[in-house]
Amino acid sequence: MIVLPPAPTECANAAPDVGASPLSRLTHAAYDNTIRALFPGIESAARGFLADAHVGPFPSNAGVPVSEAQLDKYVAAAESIAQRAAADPATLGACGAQSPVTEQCARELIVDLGSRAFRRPLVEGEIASYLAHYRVGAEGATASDGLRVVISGLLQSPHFLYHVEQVATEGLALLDGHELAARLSYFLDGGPPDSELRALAAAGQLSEQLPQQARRLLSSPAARGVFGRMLQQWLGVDRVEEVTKDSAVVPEYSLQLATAMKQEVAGFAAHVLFDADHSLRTLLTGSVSVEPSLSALYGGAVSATPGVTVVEHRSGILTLPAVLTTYSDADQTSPIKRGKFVRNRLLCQELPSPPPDAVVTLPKLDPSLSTRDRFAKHREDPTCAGCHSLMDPLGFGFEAYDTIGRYRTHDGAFSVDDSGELVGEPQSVAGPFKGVAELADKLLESPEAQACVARYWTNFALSRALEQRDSCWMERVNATFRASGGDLHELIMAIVAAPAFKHRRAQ
Amino acid sequence: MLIKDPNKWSRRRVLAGLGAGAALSPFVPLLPSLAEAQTAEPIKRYCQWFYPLGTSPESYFPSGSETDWQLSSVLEPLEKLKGDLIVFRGLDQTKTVANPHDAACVFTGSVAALDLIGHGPGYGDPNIVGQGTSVDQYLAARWGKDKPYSLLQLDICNNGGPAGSAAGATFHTNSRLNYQGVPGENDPYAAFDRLFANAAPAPGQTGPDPKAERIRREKRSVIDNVLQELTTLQNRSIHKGDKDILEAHLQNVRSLERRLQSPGLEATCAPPVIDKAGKIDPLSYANLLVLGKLQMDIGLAAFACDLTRVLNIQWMRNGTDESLPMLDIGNYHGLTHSAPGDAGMLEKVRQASRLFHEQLAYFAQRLKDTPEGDGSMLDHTIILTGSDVSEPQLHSNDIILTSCWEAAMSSAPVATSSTKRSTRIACSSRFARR
Repeated sequence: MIVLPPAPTECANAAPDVGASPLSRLTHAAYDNTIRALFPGIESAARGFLADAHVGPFPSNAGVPVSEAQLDKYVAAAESIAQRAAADPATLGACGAQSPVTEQCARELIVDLGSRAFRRPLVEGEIASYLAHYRVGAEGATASDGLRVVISGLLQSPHFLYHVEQVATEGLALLDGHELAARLSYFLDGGPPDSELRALAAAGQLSEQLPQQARRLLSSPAARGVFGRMLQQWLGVDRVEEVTKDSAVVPEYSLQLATAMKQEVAGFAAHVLFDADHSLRTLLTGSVSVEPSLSALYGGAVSATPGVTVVEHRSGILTLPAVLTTYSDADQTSPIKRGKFVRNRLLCQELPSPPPDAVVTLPKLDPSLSTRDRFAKHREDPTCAGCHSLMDPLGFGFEAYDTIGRYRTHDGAFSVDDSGELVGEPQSVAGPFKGVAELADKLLESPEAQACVARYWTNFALSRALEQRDSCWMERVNATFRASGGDLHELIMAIVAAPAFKHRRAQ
Repeated sequence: MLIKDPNKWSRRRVLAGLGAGAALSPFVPLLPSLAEAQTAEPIKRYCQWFYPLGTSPESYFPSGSETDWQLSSVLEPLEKLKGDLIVFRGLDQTKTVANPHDAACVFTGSVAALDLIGHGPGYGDPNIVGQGTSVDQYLAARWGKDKPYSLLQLDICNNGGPAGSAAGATFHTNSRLNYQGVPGENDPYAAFDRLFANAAPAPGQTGPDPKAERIRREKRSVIDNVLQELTTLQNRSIHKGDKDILEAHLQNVRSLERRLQSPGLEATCAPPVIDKAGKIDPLSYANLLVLGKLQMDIGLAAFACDLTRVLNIQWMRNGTDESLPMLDIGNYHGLTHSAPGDAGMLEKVRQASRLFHEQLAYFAQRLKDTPEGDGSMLDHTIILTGSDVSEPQLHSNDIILTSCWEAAMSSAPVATSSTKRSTRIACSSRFARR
């Protein structure tokens, strides 16, 4: 279960504290975006890399050592990117136009490209080291060969591959401007700091202008993509394309449909956060679709042209087809998985796995019974009922949506009964409800759900695990989020303003 | 002391010079291993072999007595290797968390735990991790440390676990995260390029290659600087966790350095034949057996060329939802959740686990057919197999399915100190006894 919030007095009297930020390697998405920023035109540079580790549902390599195999991938990628870049006059700027390239020009390229690759200016000793690379490559060959070795060296450097945040003291330390710029940029833009952030960092003005810069990045097109992917990961639907369905039951299901569902999640996130009122309410209750290719699934309700279409019987992320499809079985809905989804992803509650001796057998698709009746065993068997009472009744509230998320009034021969119940915690909103819309209302009234949303988003922002030392400032983030009426932009701003965002604790 | 046969060397060189491969498809089984020619040390190799979703125990365990026994249906493909086979039974797995698919436990000899960083209290779905270092990772740091590749992890259609991580049976102990699953390589073409892309000398090449020399100089320059940057960072780091991460990186760069300093190794060994023109999707289950053969051939060649001493072959993943189209199984994991005692399900599981053991038979037989020293490569190799569950219908995961090949070793330095509850895996204690 979620770490209990500290008593108000506990935080009021405590010195500000934040949890540890372990040394973190770029995720593959961050690697791609960084390479693209350095060498426009080079896309998907991290393709074929070995899987990122995760913090919660989000990719993060914080505190994770690189494997021998992945290091080889970095080397191969660096050499291949350097080969392409050094042959492309566009990426070499003024250097490329000169022939032959002088050492002065190489130096300028090292200073410029190096500072963008390392997300901070190079010190003189580093410039000298990379000039040495240049000489090794250019000797007896061409200037382009020299620059190739420089680029390859930069991309194999730990200063490129890690988010290096130097901390000289034990305990809490304030990040410098460049480190702060990098944190902000990788959070909201997915890539390295742009020229405006770099200039502010160099001038020592970023800390005071942090809110303005956060809002600027939040309004950039890149943020739409960042939060689109973030929502897919948070909801656990980033792998919906691997979900298989029984073609005898749902012949309409296909990879293309799953891809459209996944895109819709990103589109819906961007719509709520950047086109609509960016409120948690709209996220949980918005009844629109942005995905023309899902019109058949929505019963023709979605306009065939790109844009936003109001759809009936929908309640935000809770009824996105990607969510309903992921949390279903191959041939029927799964009240268990849907209930567990709400507990895990929206209430931050963890449920134990079935006991070792449980017979984990799915009910057979029996047309003479409704889904509700097929899952009845869980209520009758006392060894199951304890946990399943937390999931199944919650999941029954989703019964108006079939295994691929289509709205339905009948479950086989039976009229759909979508009455559900939230059993147990959180007590504040426990009780019966009818259909997903009423569940959304309950979640919106629940401080626990709001705190859970804040927790996931903070996790994403910091890309590290939260610990007990984070509880006081997290509580203030929650309070700000609550006070804003559940404004997700204000949640983001509160996270950026929090001490954990500006500080690092090495240990 | 092993006696080097000069004929082996000249024959190898000739084959390599001819571009070997094509004519000797897919791999040169009768060539003696290169490893024994290069060292007088006893050769010790380890291969960790994972297959998903266990088996049908009734069809798995042999019958008969300790000395007079008959192989079961699942292990029948290993009939020719019966004399090299040990089958263990009764290795109970004690659980602290009740997640049924504990690939994490099999090779770590530990009790599985919730992953408190990736998923844990307050994060929703718990992920399962092994509480220790798996045998392959442990041996990589010992038997593998002086080889070009300390460990080779070759996966076959392993699409990753929940959220894409911790999807394997190989675990690494790390001071900060505690236990981290280490992902392997699914793409045989990438694995081939990594190991063998530069293996064949240019046609007609005899003396030193100036281009290769230049590339070596460039790599040297980059490696030196990276080592220096890592060392400086490490010295400036306050926390041990950060230092450890940088140390792991340093070790891996040193392994690059080692490879750079040992030119010519590749020229004396025959890489497997990979048809790059007919490249197939490395994550398509329809290709499972073809991909598996490619990965096994690459692993065999890496052993024979002594590029590595530790190999990890992982078929699919724990709790897999993948299909086995060749057996007409649409969703293997889903299938195993059928009603108790479902004969149809058990028959499918028998077929699937037999299929994985047919692959094992191919792999082990190739080792046995390759001479090494007074015997074969198999005599110097332990293969340890295991799965995430034992009897899949119950999802019980007592480790009853571990089989081992006897290895001709005088002292196998597999210590059990790094695993918290190593006695649970009898294989570990067996190694320790030897």
